[in-house]
Amino acid sequence: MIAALARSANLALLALGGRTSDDDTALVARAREGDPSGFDEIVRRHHKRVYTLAYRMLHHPEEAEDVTQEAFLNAYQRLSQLREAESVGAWVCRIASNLCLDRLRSPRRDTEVPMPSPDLAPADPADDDEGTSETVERIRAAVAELPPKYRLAVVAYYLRGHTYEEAARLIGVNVRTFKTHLYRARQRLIAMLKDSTQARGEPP
Amino acid sequence: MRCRKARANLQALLDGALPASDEARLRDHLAACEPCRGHLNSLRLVDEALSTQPEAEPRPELAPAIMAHARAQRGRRRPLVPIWLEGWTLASAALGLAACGLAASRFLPAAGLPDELAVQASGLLPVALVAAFGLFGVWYYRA
Ligand SMILES: [Zn+2]
Repeated sequence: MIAALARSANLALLALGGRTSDDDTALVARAREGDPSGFDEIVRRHHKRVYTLAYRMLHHPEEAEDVTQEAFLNAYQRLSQLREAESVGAWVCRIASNLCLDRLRSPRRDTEVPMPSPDLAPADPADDDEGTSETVERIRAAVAELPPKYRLAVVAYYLRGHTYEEAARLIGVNVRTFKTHLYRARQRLIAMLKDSTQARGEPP
Repeated sequence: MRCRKARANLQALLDGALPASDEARLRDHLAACEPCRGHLNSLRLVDEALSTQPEAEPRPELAPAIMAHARAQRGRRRPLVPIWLEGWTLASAALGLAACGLAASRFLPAAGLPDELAVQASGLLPVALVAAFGLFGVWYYRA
């Protein structure tokens, strides 16, 4: 009954039509009606963003793939619970965020997956062409040193030119909390940057 | 404006989320305070480094693997009735009807009971059964 009500509500939304992403709405509707190609397209469209989020949180390609897959399958199972079909991508990101936090908070993780130190973190191959400076690399690597919830705020905010509201929704916290986390994350990044600059004897 | 307040507003300035009236006061503070200017520069460095970071590339096998898993999952959970009428909706309705009939045939002719009580009892049982079965259905499909 609840599922049926939710479905008719979504059909009503579908009839109204979202401007920017009614394609996603249509894909969700197709997937709900049992057409697997609808979900395939959702995966095709959003998996890179979900993977990027997981990769920047976990700094481990295989773990990031596991989380990406788990998040999509989780979403697929609960597709009837999705209220705003047009934001299916953000919804999968939110599921992935929670999976990442669970993994980072797992007591076994510390011994299993050592975090890369900023100096040892490999540079993104794409950066070489652009001649990325050492400082830029150090800042990006330092994100891995942040406590998980602050790291998540930074990762979400810079995932794709977000506003506070969008980024907060992406990770399932309220805007106020989000701003606080982003603020603290940036303060820490600046402090880490200063520390590493001083340790190298460079001028600040 | 004090440094503490200024630092809190620097983030909003950087993100283009500071109201114009606050911005004017912050600019005044920045003009007079070197440490806060330095802080803004550091924030800009961080912002630039992170906003120009390219998306991570998953292996090309990832998306097809997710799709295949989803299809396999769907195969396991395929509903037996049309999609507009999920299994538990149909089953609870059928069970409710059966329970109604059963209750009516049992309670209504019971000679010892006052008529009103018999009607109440015959109404409550199927409602309880439908509710229980419906809840089970919700649980199953969400699990
Ligand atoms: Zn100041």
